[in-house]
Amino acid sequence: MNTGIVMHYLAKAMLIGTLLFLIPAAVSLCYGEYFCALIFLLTCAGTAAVFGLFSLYKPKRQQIRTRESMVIAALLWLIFSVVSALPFYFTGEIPDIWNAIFESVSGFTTTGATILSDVECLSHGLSFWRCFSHWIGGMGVLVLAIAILPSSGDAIYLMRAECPGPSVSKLVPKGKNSALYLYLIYIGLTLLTFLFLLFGGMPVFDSICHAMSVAGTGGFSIKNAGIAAYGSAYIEGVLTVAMILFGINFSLYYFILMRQFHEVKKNTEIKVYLTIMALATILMMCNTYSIYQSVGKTFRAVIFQATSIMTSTGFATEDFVQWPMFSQMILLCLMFIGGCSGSTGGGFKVQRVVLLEKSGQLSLRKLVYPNSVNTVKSDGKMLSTDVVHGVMRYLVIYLGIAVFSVLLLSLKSEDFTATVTSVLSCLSNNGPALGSLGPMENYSGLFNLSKMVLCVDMLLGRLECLPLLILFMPTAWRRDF
Amino acid sequence: MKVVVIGNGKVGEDLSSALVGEGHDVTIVDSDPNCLTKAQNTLDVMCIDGNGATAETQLEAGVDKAGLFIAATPYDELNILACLIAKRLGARQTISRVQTPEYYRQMHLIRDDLRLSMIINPELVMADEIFRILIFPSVAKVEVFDKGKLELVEYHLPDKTSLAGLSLQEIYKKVKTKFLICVVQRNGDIYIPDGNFILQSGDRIHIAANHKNIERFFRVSGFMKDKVKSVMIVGGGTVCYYLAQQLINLGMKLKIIEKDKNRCMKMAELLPKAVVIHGDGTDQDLLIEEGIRHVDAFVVLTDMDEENMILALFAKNTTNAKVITKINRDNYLKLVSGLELGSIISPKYLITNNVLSYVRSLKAAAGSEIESLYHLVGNQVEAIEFRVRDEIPGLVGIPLKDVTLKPNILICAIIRKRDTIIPDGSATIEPDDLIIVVSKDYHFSQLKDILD
Repeated sequence: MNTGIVMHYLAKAMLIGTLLFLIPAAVSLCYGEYFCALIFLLTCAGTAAVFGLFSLYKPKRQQIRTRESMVIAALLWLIFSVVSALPFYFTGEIPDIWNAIFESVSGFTTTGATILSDVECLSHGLSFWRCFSHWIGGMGVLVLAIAILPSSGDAIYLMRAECPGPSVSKLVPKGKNSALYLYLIYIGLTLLTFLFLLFGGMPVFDSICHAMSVAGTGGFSIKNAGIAAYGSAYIEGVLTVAMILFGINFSLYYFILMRQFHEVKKNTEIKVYLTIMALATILMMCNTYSIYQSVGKTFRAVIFQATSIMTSTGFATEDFVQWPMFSQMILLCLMFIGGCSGSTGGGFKVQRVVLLEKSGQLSLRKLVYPNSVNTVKSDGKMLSTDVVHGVMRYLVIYLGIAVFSVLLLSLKSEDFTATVTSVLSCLSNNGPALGSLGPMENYSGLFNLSKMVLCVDMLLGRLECLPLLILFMPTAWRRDF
Repeated sequence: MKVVVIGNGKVGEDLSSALVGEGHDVTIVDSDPNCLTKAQNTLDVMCIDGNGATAETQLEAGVDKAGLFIAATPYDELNILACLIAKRLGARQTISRVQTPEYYRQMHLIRDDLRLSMIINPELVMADEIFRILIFPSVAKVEVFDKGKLELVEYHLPDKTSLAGLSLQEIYKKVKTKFLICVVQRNGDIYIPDGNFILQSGDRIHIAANHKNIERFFRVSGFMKDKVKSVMIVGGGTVCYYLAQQLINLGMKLKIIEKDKNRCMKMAELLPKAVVIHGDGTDQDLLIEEGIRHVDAFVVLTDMDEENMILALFAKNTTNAKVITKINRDNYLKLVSGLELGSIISPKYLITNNVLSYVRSLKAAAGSEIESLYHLVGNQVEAIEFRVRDEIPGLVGIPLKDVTLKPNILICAIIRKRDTIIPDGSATIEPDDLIIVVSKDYHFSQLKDILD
């Protein structure tokens, strides 16, 4: 492990990260919340000073490899989550530090699980900060740093550590430009969402917050009743489309902008993604028709919920805990599958599910034709066994973490459904769970230990487990061997 | 500029890394996923897995928008086909590697039909390089500017030398001939020296002058070696063929040792004047029997770097011959830096020099100013030959002592029509001169950039 370079990169990325505090500070000033603005500025200045000192250190060896990049990503997310919890704590609006950390981790990992029972009493600055953290966390701080810092050959390592999906590839030859284009597409789509929301009669501040929240597929709302507070079919429609769009691999947008439609056409993942979504919607509509008694109403409620859960946003217009068991289980499946790789959505990722299904088919084929030679293909290209095996190993790790977390949570819990589903919900960065932690409830009733376990789960889910786990490997820290 | 490189072998990899270093957007296409993984991890490039001669793969790599397309696989036919398709898809410039002697000889017939901007032949370039060393065996390496009007030679100062402890000014006075020491390498550090720089024994120096003056310098300082009259080459590949042809033309005696019977037959057929021995070059009895103790020069060109290095060591220990060793992979170069292997030739650097000078001329706005470019020490020091096209304020027509250059830059020669001038403070640069600039840690594409 090259600790010097880890520190160096961490400090640089954190410096860029701290600049982000200036935006909520400006928002606070706009609304005349001077104390809140002061807290943001102080946090910004404090962290900038600390990491400014660190960034003065110039490491001797500049080389960065997989493990360094993983450690950088993991530490960056840990430190950044804690630092961004400080404004919640110091303004006194979330007086408990554990709650503040939970809220900030939930923000950055785009989970959207909250411990606040009344979000409307928050100041504008903090409300904005919650949603803004979704937006930053969606694409990632490290990717932002790569886009801003001078180009270097190490960018791909860092991007791989932070971007979701089984195999991360660049859009263009230079890592820096790839990151830049990703952010530009991201900003563009967010602006579009904002404009459409504004057009539907949502106030400006609400539109900004919700646009950012949906862009990161987060799920924080600035209303207690969430999106249902607006009671507008148009707004729900806009958000549904936005959620679907942000759950799609961003490189596809690049291909569309570059008019390389054949690349989009041959992409299997998006087809499967849309098919699953459509199928789940139809099944749930049949199942819940008895509650709403009208096709239109059922469609409106179900499609919003299906997209919201599958893309791991976690907005809720209906209390789906009241829905029949079959629908709840479908939502649970969608929760597990999640969005496309390379999107801001969480979960296990459609791409991985597709690969697992394909290699499962191969195993069956092998039984019928024992000597046949087969390959797993994706988008017309043969996949190396490394990628296929990587997905299986990832599944094992994912389930292992889930089981372990459920065990820890069960120490202080009585509701079976809530315990299991909250772990799954946090791992897939979703937000609402089932049972007593449904969409109309919040996580404030949990014990501190349970909150911390869920925080770790959220980070594991966002960084796809491995970067965070490598922190606990003693061999990774050794200097020479 | 967008550059697509087909083939990530030795040549392709070094080309890509040099082009990335100059800030170009490089996409590499190869059909071997393993070698792509390596490139992906070490360079800031995009990698595409596939056959580079198919339009589908080329489109995926963005050849239609590429400013430059380089086909650098070891297969000539594939390279030419790939370049044809790239041109058809819309690549602005195409460069193809052609190495088979039979094909290379006829390339001038079809080059215009293929609309190739440049043909690179790493084997021929390497043979030329070895040839230049063999006709001037005192030095480790020779670079030529403007058809031999100026030579830039690398020389390793021996342990006991009369030059050690003298400053450059004193040396210039002592030798009384026009030359310039423009780069000094000492213990891994590189210096662009001024007149007060003091040499030590063990330094590696680069000397610029015309051929006559360089010979005189070597004679006066007692470094001169006898002319090479007989050469033994181990490994009969394409490089060997190109080299042997040139050596035979000069009337040197030549012995080629090759393991493979078929290759022996082919060499014997193509080079009737050379003695071709069928046998294992690593067999020391065979080498001694064939007279390694009495040859003037010993050149190792087998495909195996390890074999080449061991043979070179053996030759250094048994003979006084000039030893030239081919080493393909530069990670070996780092490993063996302490060993005395004679002159080391690495094929990839040579070809990269050619391509880079071409690419930079493309970049320079006012047409092509760069005539040639050489990397002298790894990638750090460059010697660039510029043509002074027009009046450059602050440079042209002013005595050099009044010109302010950026640090670590040296104007080491001015070639005016037939004369080669080693400049002092009072010399001036005039339009239409060729000037040779040696610089450390820069990538110049235009002459005016050297001014501070």
